[in-house]
Amino acid sequence: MTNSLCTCPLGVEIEICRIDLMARYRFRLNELGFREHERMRVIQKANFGGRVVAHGTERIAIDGDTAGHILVEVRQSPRSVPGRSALRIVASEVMRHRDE
Amino acid sequence: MTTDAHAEHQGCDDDEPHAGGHHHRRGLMVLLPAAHHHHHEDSGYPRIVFVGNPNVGKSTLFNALLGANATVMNAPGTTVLIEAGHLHHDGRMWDVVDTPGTASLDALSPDEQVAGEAAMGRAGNPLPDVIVDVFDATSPSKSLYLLSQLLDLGRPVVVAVTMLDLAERDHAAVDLDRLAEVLPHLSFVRVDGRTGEGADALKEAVAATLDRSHEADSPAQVAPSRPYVSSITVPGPTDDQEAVSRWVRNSADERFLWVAAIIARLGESDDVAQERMTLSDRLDRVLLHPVAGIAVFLAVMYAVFEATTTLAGPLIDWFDVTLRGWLTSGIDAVFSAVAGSGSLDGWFHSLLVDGLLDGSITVLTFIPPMGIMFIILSLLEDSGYLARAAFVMDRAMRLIGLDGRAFLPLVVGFGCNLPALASTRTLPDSRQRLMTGLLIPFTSCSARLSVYIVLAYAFFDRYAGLAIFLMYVASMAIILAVGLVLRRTQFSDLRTQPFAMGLPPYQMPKVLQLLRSVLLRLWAFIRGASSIIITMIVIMWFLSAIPLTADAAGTNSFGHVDEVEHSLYGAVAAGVAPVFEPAGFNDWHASAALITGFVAKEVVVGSMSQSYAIQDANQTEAQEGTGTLGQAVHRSFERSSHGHPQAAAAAFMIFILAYTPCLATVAEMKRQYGTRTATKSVLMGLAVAYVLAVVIFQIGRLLV
Repeated sequence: MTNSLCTCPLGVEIEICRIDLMARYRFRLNELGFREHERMRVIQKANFGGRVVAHGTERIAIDGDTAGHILVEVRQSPRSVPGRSALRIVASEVMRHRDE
Repeated sequence: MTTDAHAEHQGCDDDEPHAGGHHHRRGLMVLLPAAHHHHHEDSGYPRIVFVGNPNVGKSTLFNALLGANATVMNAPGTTVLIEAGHLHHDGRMWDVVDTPGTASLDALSPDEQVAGEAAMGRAGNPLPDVIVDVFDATSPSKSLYLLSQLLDLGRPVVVAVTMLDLAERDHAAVDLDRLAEVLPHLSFVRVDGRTGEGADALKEAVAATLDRSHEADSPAQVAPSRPYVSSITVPGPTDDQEAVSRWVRNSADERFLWVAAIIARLGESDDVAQERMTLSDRLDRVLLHPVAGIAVFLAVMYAVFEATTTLAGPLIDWFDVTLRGWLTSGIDAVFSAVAGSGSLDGWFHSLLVDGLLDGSITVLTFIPPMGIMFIILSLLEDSGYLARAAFVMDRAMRLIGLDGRAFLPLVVGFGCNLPALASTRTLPDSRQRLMTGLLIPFTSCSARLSVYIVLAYAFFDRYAGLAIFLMYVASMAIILAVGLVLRRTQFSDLRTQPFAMGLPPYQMPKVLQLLRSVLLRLWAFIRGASSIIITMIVIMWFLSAIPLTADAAGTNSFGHVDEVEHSLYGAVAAGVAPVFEPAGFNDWHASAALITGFVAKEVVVGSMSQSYAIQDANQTEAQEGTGTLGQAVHRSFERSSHGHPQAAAAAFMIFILAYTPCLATVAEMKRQYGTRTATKSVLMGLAVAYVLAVVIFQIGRLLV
């Protein structure tokens, strides 16, 4: 079930599903790490629905309006490895293969 | 400037211009002010461009390297501020440019576009000989992403890694050895702009890269190979921004893949670190909390306000009273010794004491609030709190399309407009900086309060307190209204972008570096603003020193005008007065006070007393309002408003609120935004003040 990021409670791990923003703003969020299937953890709740998410060692603050346009799926399992996206796993494999 | 020019000359002897000289000349012609052009036409120094994400310590590093040699200037055709200067190293001279922080070469704002153009050698910029990529060790993904774009450009790159101490503190996986291992073809240097650590190593790395570049056929041969195989062509210097956007977007997937792979190779602990609550996370639990966060922010703002007003007060008095007393006594002693005590009544003595000395002391009185403001800004910026403040206040400031960080200058403006203007430099977006700068003069500074008190007690009696309170309400209403109008007109391009910002980890500011940067900023202010302030005060002295009519005893002469009314200054005031007929204060005393108020609002009450020839010393403003001065002003306004003195007083007060705060703010605006913006601000203030004064008087006369 998808929620918007601005409704996500503190501490949950999320997976980005879709970003409903103008293309240029969506791309900037992509650049900052908000990409489909990327996993993050909500670590702070701020005023008006604002959220701070942890993405690896990085902390990214998102205002409430923007967070409302980021659709996410909450990953309930706290045991899953946060931030280890499918992209990262594939990339790791590709690079290892290339090195070999 | 002299030092720079001298240094440049020396540099010419030491450093051979290399093959890229033509580009340098062309680019610096564009980048540097006209006065510099002739130096750079002959220089052809290697060009080093600093590029990095926002909040990575890039400017701190740049200032640690350049110190007083850095010059802040507008990028050509824009209001975007860039810093540039000459860097000496081992008998060589380089032109170094610091660019605004950017997350990508696909720009979303004019500031990011300027950064991209400098890195890519577009829009009249020369191609950089070396790009210094400032890499934040606490945000490896974002830093690698930008680095991947810079590597694509085919220019030599040196990577300056900042915040390694914080990365180590937070047990992040990134360290210098790992980076060099994973990206072996790149030159990494550990730096810390706050302590100056690594500055020499960075210069060595740049020098070595330049040496390799000189030996190679072209700098591109020295550039590290593109990190991944891509069929997407990198745009050249002549391609437009659209082509740059297409390149960045079309190659994004490959880039993301590369970044993810590098992060994976840097170590799995990256993911573990995410699980760990860092010190910054724990602090943010309070400082970003929906309720506590705002409370802390308001407390910080209150502390800033108090520091720039209450704390600065005694220091200002020391300059204004004690130092002025010493210097005046000194000048008097010299005059008495050289030309006898009679010379103390001469015009030359008056010019020195009431003109030049007064102007110089005025400049000095701004040092305490400006110095305190610079210290506070450095503390807030270096500690990492300012980025949080932007986030906490984002929603409120969005109403007028501004960044949350714009709240601080507007709050500080209620103390003094000058440090408020200085604090706009913390706004990363140049258009926002400009718009905030245009709104600051409408914040009712404490100097205006003295005028409100006198008039409120003179005209509104037991409602004086309410009248003064309403002036502050009016100030906020004007800011909101002008802000909304500017948003829909001149700043209609100012789109409210999504707020998505990497939060830097908290850190302890370094005292020595902080004091050094504060002194540099203070010196830049004194250098930039003193000439206009002193010149204008001397002009005012001349206006009041030139007699137009003889007084009753026929003793008026140059420098000895007993009544202001009989001076050129009085004549100018009388000439201006009829303009205020629709506002109810067509009276030369009032317009003389307004002209003085253009120089400084602190002296408006004094000017009024002088124009009415009232000698009541040691009175509070309230006593002046209910005393002789108040009665005199009342009589004037009674006459000028044709029986509606209270409406005229309200109109006069609103005019005092809305027109130019003081000469020093105009000088600071000119220094920061250029003559055109400073002029625009003055004209806008006058227009708003006049329209409001007329409306208030015309409505008021119907009511009272």
